[in-house]
Amino acid sequence: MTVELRTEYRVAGLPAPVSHYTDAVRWGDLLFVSGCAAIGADGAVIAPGDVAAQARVVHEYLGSALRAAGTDFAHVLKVTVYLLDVGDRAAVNEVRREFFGDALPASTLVEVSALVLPGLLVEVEAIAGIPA
Amino acid sequence: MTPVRAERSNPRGAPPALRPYYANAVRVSAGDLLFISGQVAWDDAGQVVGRGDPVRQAEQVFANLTTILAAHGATIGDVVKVTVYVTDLAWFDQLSAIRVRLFAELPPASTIVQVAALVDPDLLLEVEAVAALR
Repeated sequence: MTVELRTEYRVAGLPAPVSHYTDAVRWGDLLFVSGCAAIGADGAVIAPGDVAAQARVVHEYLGSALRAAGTDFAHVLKVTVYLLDVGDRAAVNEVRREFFGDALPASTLVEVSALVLPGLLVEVEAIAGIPA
Repeated sequence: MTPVRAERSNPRGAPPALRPYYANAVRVSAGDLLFISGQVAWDDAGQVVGRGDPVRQAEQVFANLTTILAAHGATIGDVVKVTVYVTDLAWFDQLSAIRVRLFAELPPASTIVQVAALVDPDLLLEVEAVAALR
């Protein structure tokens, strides 16, 4: 079977992208997943002020994107975590542990001055390998 | 030895690289990729090195990166992309002096941004990298 080297994914269950991008792009056996944030299908922020609830939504979205491309959390190579308040790290980490289990990705975490919608507290982007 | 499967380019028509320690693009045509987590100025006991001193911290950060690369049989010249997060871009020129020493020969693609905070208030910069392994 021939697989296109570059494939764009719009993932069922994820909110419409807020600008000119798609949810994930596959290149060869790598998958680049756009930053996921707790935005609902109606475009509104989910659970404003509740970082743990937002982190859960973020990881559910990330999981959906991974599955859409035939991979999973165990094959994530690298995540970048953007927090509005770096003090939320422990709360986010608890959720991360639930979703990643024993698999440890490479990771960078920073506090930023703003995310795309007011009320968002956390955004996570990822690069994953796609198993043969 | 110059790794032939990572080709640096600064194509005509794009603005030239601002400094000699990075390239506008690096094409990787072979080799395994190594994704390195953001490194900060912690020593091997997890203690902050160079409190208040961005240059000392940068030296520790790049030393940590070099250690991780070496564990995978790689060197700083195998890095194809770095992202540098600083809490104050006023240190740009001081950081440049270090980066030119490390990267002038085999410059990676690069992004630098200022962030509001890092994981510990004593940390002044964080550097993540992708390397192409031989």
